[in-house]
Amino acid sequence: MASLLMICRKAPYGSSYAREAIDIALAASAFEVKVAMLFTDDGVLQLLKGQNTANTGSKNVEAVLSSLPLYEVAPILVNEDALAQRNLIVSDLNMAVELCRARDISALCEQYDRVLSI
Amino acid sequence: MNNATLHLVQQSPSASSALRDCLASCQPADPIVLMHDAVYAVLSKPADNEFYALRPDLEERGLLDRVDKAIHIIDYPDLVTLSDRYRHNLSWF
Repeated sequence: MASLLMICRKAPYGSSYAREAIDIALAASAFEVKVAMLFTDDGVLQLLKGQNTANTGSKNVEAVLSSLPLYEVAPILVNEDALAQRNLIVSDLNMAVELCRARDISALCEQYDRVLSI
Repeated sequence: MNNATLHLVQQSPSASSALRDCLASCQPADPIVLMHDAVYAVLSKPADNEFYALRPDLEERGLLDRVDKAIHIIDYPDLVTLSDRYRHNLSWF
């Protein structure tokens, strides 16, 4: 089974990058790729609790992300340095995550057959 | 095949965090390619990593004669060779 690490670095809503990265992860998982996701830099903002798109017409990224475990996307990794730089802590996030450091990212990449950064 | 990661930085170092974020998470042995607006970072080598900059992007922006001596200037065929040499290529945009 091939493995894929999706690295998400973009905030949700301001551009379509976040949604597209999630779509890739879900599609890959549907085709029997073992998918893990790493949220780093502004990408950690995708995981922020309490997103409300009722008045904007956007699809709620928080809601879509919460479906990742159903698709067996794991682990969900978060760069804790990126969280700290944005004055956020794990309890600000909407799902259970594994923490890593910025310096771990290269070593993490080595564990996967493919790495895609968006 | 080299197990280090080749980083492709694509955005201006002053307008985007791409280069800074890349440097915060790369390893010392990882080479970094500056392309598109990231070539504005060539005036002084940003870190101790091996650095490459794409000639067509440098030429376009009038930077070809201003590249730090420690940065390698490459063309697209060299980029293909480099990409092939490393197991993972990571884009920063």
